[in-house]
Amino acid sequence: MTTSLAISTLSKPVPGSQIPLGTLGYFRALNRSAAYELVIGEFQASGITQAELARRLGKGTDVVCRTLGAPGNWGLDTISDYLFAISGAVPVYRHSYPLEAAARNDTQPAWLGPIPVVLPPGATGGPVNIIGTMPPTISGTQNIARVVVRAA
Amino acid sequence: MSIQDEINNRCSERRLFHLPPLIPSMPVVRTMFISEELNAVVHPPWGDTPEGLRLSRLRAYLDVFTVGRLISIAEDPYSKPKSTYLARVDPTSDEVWDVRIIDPHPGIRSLGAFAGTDIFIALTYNDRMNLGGPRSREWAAEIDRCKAKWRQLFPTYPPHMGADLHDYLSGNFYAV
Repeated sequence: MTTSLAISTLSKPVPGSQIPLGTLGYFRALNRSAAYELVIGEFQASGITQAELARRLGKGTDVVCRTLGAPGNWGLDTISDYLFAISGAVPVYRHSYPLEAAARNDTQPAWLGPIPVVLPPGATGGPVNIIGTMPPTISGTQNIARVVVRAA
Repeated sequence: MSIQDEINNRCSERRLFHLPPLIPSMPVVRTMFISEELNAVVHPPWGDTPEGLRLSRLRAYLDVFTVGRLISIAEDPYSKPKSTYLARVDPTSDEVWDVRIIDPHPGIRSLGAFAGTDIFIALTYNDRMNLGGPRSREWAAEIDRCKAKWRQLFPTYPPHMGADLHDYLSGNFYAV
């Protein structure tokens, strides 16, 4: 068995460098999730039915049901239409810098024990060396999100 | 010994991995564990390929669960919007659930089971196009593979079984 130490990162944009497609994909999915939470949260709070929402939007209940299922193919117009139809609300846009924010310490349930750290061969002389434990989150370097050890 | 002890043991054995969100500043509201199979693909860097993009979405979907975002969930395996986030698979008595990454096409399905309220263990993943229709032999094989992995990890513990959705998720979900 060989081991390798993989550094799991999401890097901030670097001048002159193309952002990896996977990084963009990750944030796109989170963005859709945030939009979904906004609209569904408003829908749940409103107390109206899917049938009433469908009437307001002039759509079939099946279409509304499908749209509310998940934000898979939502566009900005979907968010605008649904929010307004639900309660007369409009989205308010703002942004944050999650990769610059401080890492959290509470990243695991209290009952979960320390996570073993395995270093690559040669680090301390053996093929696999469990040298101790560490908290699951490394703070201090914003671009290093997590240390993950993979065994191949 | 509780299933939490067993989870700790499996993590120590590196047969199971705790998956905090990729962004260290994000809150951890629910708990996600992943198998070796998933641990091999959910960490960046992903290749600048369609497959890399799909795997990044898979990771984001798993993190959506962990950070406590609102998720859609279906109890009926055969009656749900196409884009539902989390759905039971048939037979429901097996307590196998399907995390449904539908975008981009072709989607990914990650099967797993709950180990408690807000504790999900994702055990397998596969391209949706490999799994055939809802009652196909391929789907059944994937469910069997998930169940076998559970039994390998937790031979004396069945998956968490709840009376209703609130026994699986303490909050912030939308039943579809």
